[in-house]
Amino acid sequence: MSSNVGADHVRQLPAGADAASPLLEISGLRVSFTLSDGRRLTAVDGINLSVAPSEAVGLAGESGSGKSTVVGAIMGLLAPNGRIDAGSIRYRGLNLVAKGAPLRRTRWREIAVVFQGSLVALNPVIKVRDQVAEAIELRLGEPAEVAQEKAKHLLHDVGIPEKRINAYPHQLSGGQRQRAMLAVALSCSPAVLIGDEPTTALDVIVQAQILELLDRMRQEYGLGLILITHDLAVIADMCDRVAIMYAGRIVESGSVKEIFSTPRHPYTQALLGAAPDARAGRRTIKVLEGHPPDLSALPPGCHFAPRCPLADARCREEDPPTIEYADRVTLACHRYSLGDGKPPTPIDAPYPTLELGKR
Amino acid sequence: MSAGASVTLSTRIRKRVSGGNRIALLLLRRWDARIAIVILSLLTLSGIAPEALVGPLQTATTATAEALLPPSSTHLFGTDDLGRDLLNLTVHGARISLVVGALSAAITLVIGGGIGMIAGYRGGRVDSLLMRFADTFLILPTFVLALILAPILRELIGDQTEIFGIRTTLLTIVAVIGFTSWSSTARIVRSQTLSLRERTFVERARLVGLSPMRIIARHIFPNIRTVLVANGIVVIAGSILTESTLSFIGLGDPFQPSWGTILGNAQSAAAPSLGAWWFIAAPGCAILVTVVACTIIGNAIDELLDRDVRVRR
Amino acid sequence: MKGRRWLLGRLGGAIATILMVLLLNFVLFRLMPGSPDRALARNPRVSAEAMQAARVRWGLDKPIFPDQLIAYVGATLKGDFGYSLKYGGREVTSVIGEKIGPTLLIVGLGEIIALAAGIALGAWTGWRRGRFGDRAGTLGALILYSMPYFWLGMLLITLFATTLGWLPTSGISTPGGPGGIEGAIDLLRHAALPIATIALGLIGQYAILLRSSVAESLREGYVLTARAKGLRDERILRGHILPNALLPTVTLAALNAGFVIGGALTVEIVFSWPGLGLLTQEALQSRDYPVLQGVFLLLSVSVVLANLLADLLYSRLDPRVRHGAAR
Repeated sequence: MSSNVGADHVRQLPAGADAASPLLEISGLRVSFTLSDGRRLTAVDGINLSVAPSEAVGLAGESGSGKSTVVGAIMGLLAPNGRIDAGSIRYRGLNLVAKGAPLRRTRWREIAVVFQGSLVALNPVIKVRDQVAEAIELRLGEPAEVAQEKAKHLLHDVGIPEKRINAYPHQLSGGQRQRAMLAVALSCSPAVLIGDEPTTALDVIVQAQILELLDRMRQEYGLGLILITHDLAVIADMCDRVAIMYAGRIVESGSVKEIFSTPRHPYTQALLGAAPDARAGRRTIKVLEGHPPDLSALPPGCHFAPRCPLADARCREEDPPTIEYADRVTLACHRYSLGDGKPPTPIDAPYPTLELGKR
Repeated sequence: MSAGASVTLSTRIRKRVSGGNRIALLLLRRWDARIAIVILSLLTLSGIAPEALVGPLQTATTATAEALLPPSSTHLFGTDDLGRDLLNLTVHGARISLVVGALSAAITLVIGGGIGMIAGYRGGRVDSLLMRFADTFLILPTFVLALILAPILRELIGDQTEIFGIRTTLLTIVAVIGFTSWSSTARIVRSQTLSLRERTFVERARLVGLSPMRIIARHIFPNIRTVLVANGIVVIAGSILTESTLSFIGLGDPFQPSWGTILGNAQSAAAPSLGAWWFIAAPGCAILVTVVACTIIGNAIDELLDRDVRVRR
Repeated sequence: MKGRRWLLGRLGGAIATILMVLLLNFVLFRLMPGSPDRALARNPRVSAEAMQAARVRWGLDKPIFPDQLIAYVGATLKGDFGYSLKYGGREVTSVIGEKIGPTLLIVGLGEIIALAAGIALGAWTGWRRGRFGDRAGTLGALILYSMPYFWLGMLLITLFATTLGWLPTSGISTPGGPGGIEGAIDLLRHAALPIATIALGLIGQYAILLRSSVAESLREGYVLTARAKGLRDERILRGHILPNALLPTVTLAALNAGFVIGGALTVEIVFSWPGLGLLTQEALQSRDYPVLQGVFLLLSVSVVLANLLADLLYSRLDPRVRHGAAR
């Protein structure tokens, strides 16, 4: 018997939420930070993202693209020098950005996070089981013994062996810790689960196990899953839709199938072409030169222009508009325009290439 | 080749100019450090030339006033049980307490710094042995050790010696404090040395074939100077506290009364029971203010060093 | 097992240190102007036979090294610390034994109060790190930490005993005073200021240490997780941060246990509290070296034991040390 409350459970939504509204809808979100010398840094610059129940959406980008800031914004846990400048984050219609939103009520019980670095995210001096039980006891109001039992079941469910049920975090292996972190995240049966680089620092085999576990939980609980990672292979494996993020903006989004087979935005093309693909037999890789921009000193125009082989004068002056050419399929690049409603023809961005195996 | 050499040269010069002086400048930006520095400067001034401020030290025979007078316009801090002006005593006490504090701190820094550098640089068995030795000193109650060592040292040094204008009795206190408080300094210096040992310029010196002593002196020591200063300030504060305790008990010199000795006199004269608060307040506040000022500066330097290390990395 | 070997190692270290202390004690006191031989001779109350017996026991007629040393160590381990000069030839052990009770009373209670209050203050300021409450609290702790214990005691007497007259100025009891429950209350009234002095002197250390532990813990990842879980601030502090932040403080408390007895010395002098402190001062003034030696030994050993206790405590409390990492 699974310990979850699953898809059949009649969920008690927080006041103001509406079961008929979309699960999670972020629109026009802008987050900025004030640096110690007074400058402002816009980490997230007007993004739209949505998740439906049982759907897995990937948020891909390099470090510094603003991905993790999105997590902070959703949970209402930005650093003291950060703030949400514009936009809305609607959970079942309830705007979490608005004043007086029941943030604490929503945390964990509706939206939960599996953080990166489980050794750091778990309290080292408290048993893992107690960390799971804590949420059940204090957030769901269950009596201590019941919470302990449920915690035990949950840990079993995610694959922690019996003899490690009462262990401390440092006594578990990396993979086991991540599973424990997952159990902690699922303890209050959330509707949305956000994974912030959940498999980074794990070896490939363990990574596959964790992803499989995540997928199973998604199905069992009917979770809306947001997977934040720089690893495109993970997104290709797990997600239905993907949003590609660069320097605080979403440059392209759509179904994984379409985007990964026919990338249109030059950045997406670089990301996909940057890794050698043994299976596809590809032996050349695209080289993306330069590095992500300093978000506190952005030049005008498209954020990607300095590194883009297709960039022209307009790219360096004007921000490209985000065009939506199908349901939840977007693209932000001057080179592409909404033509006659059909998906625009992909333009191959001429990156320098590297032949593998040749000097 | 010459271009490379000039780069190395300029880097070396920059390294020498930065470090200590930069910390000093950054220190002055903090308001609490500024106040502390002002206070310590005033105290040091009193310490250097007390006679210029309040005249010669009053003794039992030269006391001019009645005993145990509360503060007034003629006697700002009141008088003690022998009729001596407490302002006079406190200012002269500054010299004694500060010199004793500084001298013991100097001994502590030399011993602690030396042992710390050797232990950190050599490593291995030398390190373990030295650290266990240091631990023993950490464990011994400084205070009771002082009580015991004092008469012994007095026998050794003789009764009439004077160094820096400090007589034997107090010199024994200086020696005792200095020889017993070096453990934590040694530990701090040792860990700094350990991290310095791995830096490239030390590697290079080793490869060139310089002897360990040379390396320690020319390369390691200049880089721990700031740490020593920060630690030294805190050590001075601790020495002043320990000295005041030892003097309070009676190990001090009645002819060279430090703040602690004055408090000891207050205790013998039953000042608390008599309500002679001024007798107690003046020297005590002096100790308090000095120690707080030293601690603030020491902590501030520590924080600045911390930030420095993090930025450099 | 790993744990057992470590324990034996620590015990071995402690014993080694105690032996070093004994050695130091031996050397120092043989160097001192009042050597045991002379001390015995000067003591009019010790009978001739006892003197001769002691000389033999301590090996005073044999060479210093190694015979006297071994004799000394042997005698010390048997509890023979010599005879007090001042207290009429009584054994040092009995003299010290009678004075240790009052010291333990004020030191023990003082430590407990300081620990409780220091932890509360430290947690409160650590949580509000950077804000006004933190600055004020830290400054207060710094001031308390920077004043000599005895000065604090003298001030307290002047204020509470002399000026306000609420509490007695010194001593452990009113002479010719009542017994029974009233006697106990009398004792407490006399003990109040000494205990307060020790407690106030110690609070600063604990508060400052706990504050920095809490401030550090606030930056740890598990605090973010706890916040994301939607737990209340008070619960995060109590249930997550304190279990981590208390570890170094507990260690400090155990370490202090050894030193505080030494620090209480001056407090006892100020309050004429008949404990080890007063004993030490009198011994010093009358050059009663056997007693001084005994006190020194006692204090050193208690510090070594306190260190050992601190290590053991830490290893039991921190699960990372208690159970090694699993692979």
